[in-house]
Amino acid sequence: MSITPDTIIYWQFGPFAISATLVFTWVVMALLVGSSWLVTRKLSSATSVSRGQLLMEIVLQGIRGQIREVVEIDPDRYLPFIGTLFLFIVVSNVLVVVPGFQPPTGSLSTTTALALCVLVAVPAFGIASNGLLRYLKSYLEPTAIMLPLNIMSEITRTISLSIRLFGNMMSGTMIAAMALAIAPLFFPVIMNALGLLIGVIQAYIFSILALVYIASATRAHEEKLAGATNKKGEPSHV
Amino acid sequence: MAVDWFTLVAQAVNFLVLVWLLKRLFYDRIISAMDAREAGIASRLEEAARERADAEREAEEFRAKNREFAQQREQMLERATEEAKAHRQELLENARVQAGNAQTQWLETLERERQGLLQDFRERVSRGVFSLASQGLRELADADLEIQMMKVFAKRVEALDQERRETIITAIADSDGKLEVRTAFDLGKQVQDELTRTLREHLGENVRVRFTTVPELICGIELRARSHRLAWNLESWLEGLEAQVFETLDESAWNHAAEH
Repeated sequence: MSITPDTIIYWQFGPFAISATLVFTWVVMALLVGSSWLVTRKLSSATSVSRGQLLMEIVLQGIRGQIREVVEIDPDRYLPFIGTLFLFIVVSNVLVVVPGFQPPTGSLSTTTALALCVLVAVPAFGIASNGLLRYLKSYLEPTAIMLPLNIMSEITRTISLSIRLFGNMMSGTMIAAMALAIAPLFFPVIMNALGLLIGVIQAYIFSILALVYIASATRAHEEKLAGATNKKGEPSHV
Repeated sequence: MAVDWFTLVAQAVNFLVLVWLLKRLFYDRIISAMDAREAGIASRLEEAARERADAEREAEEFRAKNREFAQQREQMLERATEEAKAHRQELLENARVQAGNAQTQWLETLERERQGLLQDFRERVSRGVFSLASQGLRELADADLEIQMMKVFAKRVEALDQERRETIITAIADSDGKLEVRTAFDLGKQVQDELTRTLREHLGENVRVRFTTVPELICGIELRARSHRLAWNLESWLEGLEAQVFETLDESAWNHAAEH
């Protein structure tokens, strides 16, 4: 019994090991990209659409709605990053029910990679909307003494993000495996169902937290913008 | 539970590739399709609103036209009713006048027929009366009566006014003194002489009197000198009376007709 799919190595060349994590990540990627390509191959702008397109539109609109609730501005700017984060995690977590599937999110390498992507995305979005100086200045607020604390909070929240997802998914897989060993008949089914619920919730939590971090980095600028336009007597678009 | 650094980098790259792929294949395409559909729906709604406005305007126009038509129809109906009423009144009036005319005509015809019948009846009665009187007098008349009448006639000759007398004398002169005396019966020599004497006394000494008997006179005497005639007999008396009676009858018939 392995704690993480990183330990299942299919092919190795020096330090480059093709583990189950990578393989199942590619499976999930192929699934997402393939289904997207299949559906968007023949999109319809008419009032009657295919079932696949309808499902895609519902998913997309759901994600957009969630993003809009948090950032309260145009969600399409964050949609590719946050949406992909959510879809990748949720598909990886849900496929746990498929026998033999090793969720890539059960690997600390994957969750750390995702958390690092968020860590990079937060200043990237912040700088894109505020400019480099103003973004860096936000680390000195409210006072310069807070700089180490601010930097530390950036790092720790990235670690907490990665550990949280990894811990939850790993524990889910572990519990299912242990339950299978103790009571192999009905108990694993219940635990698997619970694992599905937890997987979806964790995907949601990860995406929402990433969005909140990105939004907090960009919001200061947006609020200032809104204030400036209001002072000019123009209506706020926020 | 360690982090495999190669896996970590590979997963980060994988994730970024997935973001790029999904952005290309999923987000952009689906969003553009949804936007296109929304735009299509919006334009269709706009078109529908415009058409609806058009339809409502047209409906309003038709309603106005309908109201106008109804009003016109009402007016026409009213006019037609009034015309029909007037026409009926006229026809009734005409019929009444015609009926009155026909009645008047009929009454006139009736009255005429009645008058005709009455006239006919009167004439018949008069003729009957006169023929009866004539017959009665004819039966009563004889020479003695005629002699009496002759005396009366002699008195009439004596009593002739001057003008009449002159006229008769002139007439006698024109007929060479011839005078014809006509009677219904033979008067006898004595009476004839007496009359001759009376006539010569009043109408001239040269008068040559000739006596003729004419039974149609019924009773009486007639004196003829060329175109003049002096008569006193029952026939001419009856004729005069009859003419007078018929004249009166005619007059009364005319008066009666004029009254109606």
